[in-house]
Amino acid sequence: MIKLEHVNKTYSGGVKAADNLSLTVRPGEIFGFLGPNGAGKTTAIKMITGILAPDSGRIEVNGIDISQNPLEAKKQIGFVPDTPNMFLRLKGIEYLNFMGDIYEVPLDIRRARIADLCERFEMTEALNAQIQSYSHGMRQKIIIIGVLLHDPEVWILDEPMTGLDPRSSFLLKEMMREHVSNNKILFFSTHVLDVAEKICDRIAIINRGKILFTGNMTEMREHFRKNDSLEKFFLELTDNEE
Amino acid sequence: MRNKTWTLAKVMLKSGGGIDLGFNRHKKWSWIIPAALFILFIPLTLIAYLEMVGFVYQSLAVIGQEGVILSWGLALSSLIIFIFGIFHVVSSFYFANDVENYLPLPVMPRQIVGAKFLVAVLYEYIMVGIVYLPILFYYGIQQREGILFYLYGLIIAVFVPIMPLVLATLLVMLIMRVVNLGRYRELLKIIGGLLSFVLAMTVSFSMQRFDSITPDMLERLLLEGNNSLTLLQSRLFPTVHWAVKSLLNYEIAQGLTNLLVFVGLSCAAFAVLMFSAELVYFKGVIGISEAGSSRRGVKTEHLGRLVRTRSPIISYLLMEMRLLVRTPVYFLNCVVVNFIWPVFFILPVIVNDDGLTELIGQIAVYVQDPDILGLVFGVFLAVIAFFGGSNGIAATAISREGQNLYVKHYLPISYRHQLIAKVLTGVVLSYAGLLLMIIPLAVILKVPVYFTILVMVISLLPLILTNMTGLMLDIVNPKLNWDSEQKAVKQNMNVMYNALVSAGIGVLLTALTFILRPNLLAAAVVLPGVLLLGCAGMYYLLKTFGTTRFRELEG
Repeated sequence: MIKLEHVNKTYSGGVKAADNLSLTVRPGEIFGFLGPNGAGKTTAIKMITGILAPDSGRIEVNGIDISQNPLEAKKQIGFVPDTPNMFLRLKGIEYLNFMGDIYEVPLDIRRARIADLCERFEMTEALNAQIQSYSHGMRQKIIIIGVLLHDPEVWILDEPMTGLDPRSSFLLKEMMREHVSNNKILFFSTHVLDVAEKICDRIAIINRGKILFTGNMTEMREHFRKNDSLEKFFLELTDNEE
Repeated sequence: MRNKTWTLAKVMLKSGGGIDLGFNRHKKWSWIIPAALFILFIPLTLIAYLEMVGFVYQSLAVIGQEGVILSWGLALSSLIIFIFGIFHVVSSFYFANDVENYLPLPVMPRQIVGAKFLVAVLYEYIMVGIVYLPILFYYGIQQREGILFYLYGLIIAVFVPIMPLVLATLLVMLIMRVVNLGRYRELLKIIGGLLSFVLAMTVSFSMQRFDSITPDMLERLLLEGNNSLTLLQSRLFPTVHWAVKSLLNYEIAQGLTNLLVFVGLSCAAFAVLMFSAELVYFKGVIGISEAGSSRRGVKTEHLGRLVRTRSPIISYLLMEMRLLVRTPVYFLNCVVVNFIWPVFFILPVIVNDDGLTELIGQIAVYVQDPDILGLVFGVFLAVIAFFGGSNGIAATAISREGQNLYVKHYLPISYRHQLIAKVLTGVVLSYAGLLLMIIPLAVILKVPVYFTILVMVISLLPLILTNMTGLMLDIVNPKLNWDSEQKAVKQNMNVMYNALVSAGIGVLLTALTFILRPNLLAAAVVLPGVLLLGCAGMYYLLKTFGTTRFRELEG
């Protein structure tokens, strides 16, 4: 379970990026975090993954408080950031070994998982080349393989579909579904309503640091129909689909 | 229409290409370290330097050659600017990613080179301020020179970096034009950078030797008095000659003509540079950041061999080393410098410089005297402390993370372990360079084996200490907001601050050695003891304040 209780975060410029956020993500469901650019999605994800500390409030990952026991909490998570431009001078295989070492994945499990994931993403061929020679999509894929090596209980993805070709995007959706079928947790952010509609079991809509709605897709439509002021916002999200 | 060169230079300065003293209004801690260092070290260093200048001046005054000090000051500044210039030009003209942003713009090659050059000149004024200005003012005050002397002196200060920087730029442009081809570009680029450096060292070495001057000539010049010796300096940078003559004769017309010649020649050199830039710069720089795309495919059946496990700290350290070695700018500025000092010590022996060989012979006699070994030990540790702090690996360890710092926040490895791995990276690389220096030196100086081993073991302590101080400086005020790797290391004042701190530690060790005058046994107990205390203190600081600060840093 991911649990946020009354989480607040204000940046030094005075921008309130998280305004009393409360949220529960249950095992076995794909949870989408939907909102326009700059709504506070990435800030929330940064706080859940331990990159940022909240000003106040409590965050629990799989029952572990991230501020009390950061290392244990981080080990529960596999996090795919929104830009895959990191470790560019490492070869693919070196990056995977590095992630395996940091997450302390035993050798035999590591071998099997690297072979399996690279096969599925068609990345085996490229493992001996430096990541900087990869295309955007390949970089995204190698990062995803890296965070899945330790078979995390909680998988968090920030805008994962950007830059993936249709095949890889389909494969990723399949893997996300597979992940939750083992009663694990999946949390991802997107600014595209269409993506959320197609994959999510439940969503939260965030704007200006505030959660406007939490529920499943049918509930969301119902909610927006009843609430005129929110309908405009909903249309804006639909516009973002392009 | 505004001049495009100026516009470019301004953009380069504003986008972090310029001098950053480390002050940052938005960070509450950022001003403390620079301020403390300026207050502590600048006066100390200045006093020590002026003391030395004074000594040289007095010695020269006895033979009526005190003007020589001006020419030394200028020649030394030029030489330092030339050598630093090589590194700067390789990094900033060729390896900096920002060049890619300027290539599609409708600007001429000479405008890009001109703008980069202006930024470089601005940067070199620090060097001029440190080396030349104290000499100028010391001389002026001693000689009770008039206001015109200082005016001339300052005009010279403005133009003095131009000639050595033009030479450095021309050299690098030529080499880069030649090596920028083929599939192994990445490797060739690094080799090109190294080659420029070795060439610069060789040139300066051969120019500094006085062997073409006969003793008769030297005697004649000496007897002549009247600063006739100033002729001997300035052979590498001939323009220095006119600068010195204008300073010595500022009261008469000759001074003005010499000044005009000096300024004119500097401008002419700049013009030559602009002309050459038009011809060769684009051919050397285009495609410089292309990644080698030769992929040796991995077959699934071979995958098993490529997968291996290591402890998290070792894995982290290995990752840091790989990034240092594979990023050309980091390699040149952080890794290569560790191996410069050994070359510096060994090169004279290889080229068989008589004067130096003789000097080494004399040192060898002392070193084998057991009574002096204690002093030698202390001084050697001091020297190592200084070298250890000069590489900038630890002092840029946080800055190099740049915008990707956030990655280090979500990985499940404690901040303490990350800091340890970062210190170790610096220690391992500086120790490798050090061993390359110690072993040949021990052989050449015929140092007893037990002494060599002792030095090899104990010298880890000053290296650990100075790498920890470097990391501490960088963690307090890292330079994270950069768009080109070059800015993380080249224009990072933490490197200079740590060099100052390391020099301070070196001075402290030397002072301790000369106050206590210990025998070897005492020295081998007391000095490591002091260093251990320092290490323990720094470790505690890193573990407490350092990890907290690391956690708070936002990429």
